[in-house]
Amino acid sequence: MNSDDAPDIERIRPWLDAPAVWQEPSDHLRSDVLAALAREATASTVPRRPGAAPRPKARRGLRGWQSGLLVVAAAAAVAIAVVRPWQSDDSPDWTQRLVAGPAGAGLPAALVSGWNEDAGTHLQIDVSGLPLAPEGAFYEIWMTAPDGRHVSAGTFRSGGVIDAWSGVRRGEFPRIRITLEPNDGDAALNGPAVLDTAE
Amino acid sequence: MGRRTLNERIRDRDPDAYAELYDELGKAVYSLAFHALGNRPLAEEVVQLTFVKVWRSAEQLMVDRPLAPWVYTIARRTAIDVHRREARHATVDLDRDIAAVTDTFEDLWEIWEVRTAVDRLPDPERDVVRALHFDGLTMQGIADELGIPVGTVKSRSHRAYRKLATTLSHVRGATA
Repeated sequence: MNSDDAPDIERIRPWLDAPAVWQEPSDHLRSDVLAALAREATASTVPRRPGAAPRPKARRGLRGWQSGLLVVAAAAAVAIAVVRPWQSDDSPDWTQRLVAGPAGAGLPAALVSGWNEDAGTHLQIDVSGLPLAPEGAFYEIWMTAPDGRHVSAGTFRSGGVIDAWSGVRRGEFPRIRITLEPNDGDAALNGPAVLDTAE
Repeated sequence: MGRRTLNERIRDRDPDAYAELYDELGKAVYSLAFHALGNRPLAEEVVQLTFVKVWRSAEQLMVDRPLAPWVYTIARRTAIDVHRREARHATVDLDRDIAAVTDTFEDLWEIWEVRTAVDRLPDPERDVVRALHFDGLTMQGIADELGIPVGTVKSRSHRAYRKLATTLSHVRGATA
């Protein structure tokens, strides 16, 4: 470094040393965000309550959303999980009960309500008896096919009603599991199952 | 009719505009959230919620105003909301961790600005600055790692620092 710019660099050096400046989000986050926005667009086109008035501004460009982002969501087969960002007022297409898995101490349970969407599956999971994930770990929702293939449907740390979205269909990925994953940057399924589909 | 600006397309919920917005500011939102919460899954949740809130409040966007400060404001508020939610469910250990990161809310604007600035550097220059500040490598170490002469590492870092010093001239000096 030359002396002519040294004072300025010294001023901002501590900011450059901040680890957060260099953290990279997961590769799938971009698709997750776009899938979440596609879900918003879909929600604005299908009134959840009978007689609900459409939101005029939200209808702009909806064909673009559905043909573009929903395709992205389906192709990427990615998902999101957000605690209560929206509420589904229509009846689910199906429900599924989860029971404690091998690592499910304390007998947690969950009821999954599912909606089959054009771009995949919307899950609303009511989780009870599951403690806050330990520091350095988080819970991850997986949809699993009979041949063992699995796709993440999102993550969360505390129980309650979890909204999740996956780009795959329940018909192909019928088993739902929740695992406790270490926060080590590895996106693969590594952790033990705390909740699993009841046989 | 002239080409519409990104702000106008965001206001009108053009899907391509939101993809562009993520490419431009998504990592800045992530860095802000990670700095506030110190947790990767929570930071990613903040990113998702921030963009959903941007979408939901698109009508409120004033198209003649800069877009980034508006997104920053939404992201900061979202990070604080998630922090409060986690605090309500916190165990003793998590209480301590959350208390430790509360002070970092004051630094969020600087983290946002610095992340935005480094993302605008050309890849070769950003890689060198990252290796120096995040990986803790020496100039020689970077040269060995990248397979380039030390002189090239120095010239890239010099160019990068000059750009950052100019771009971030409005950012206060850190006390840390």
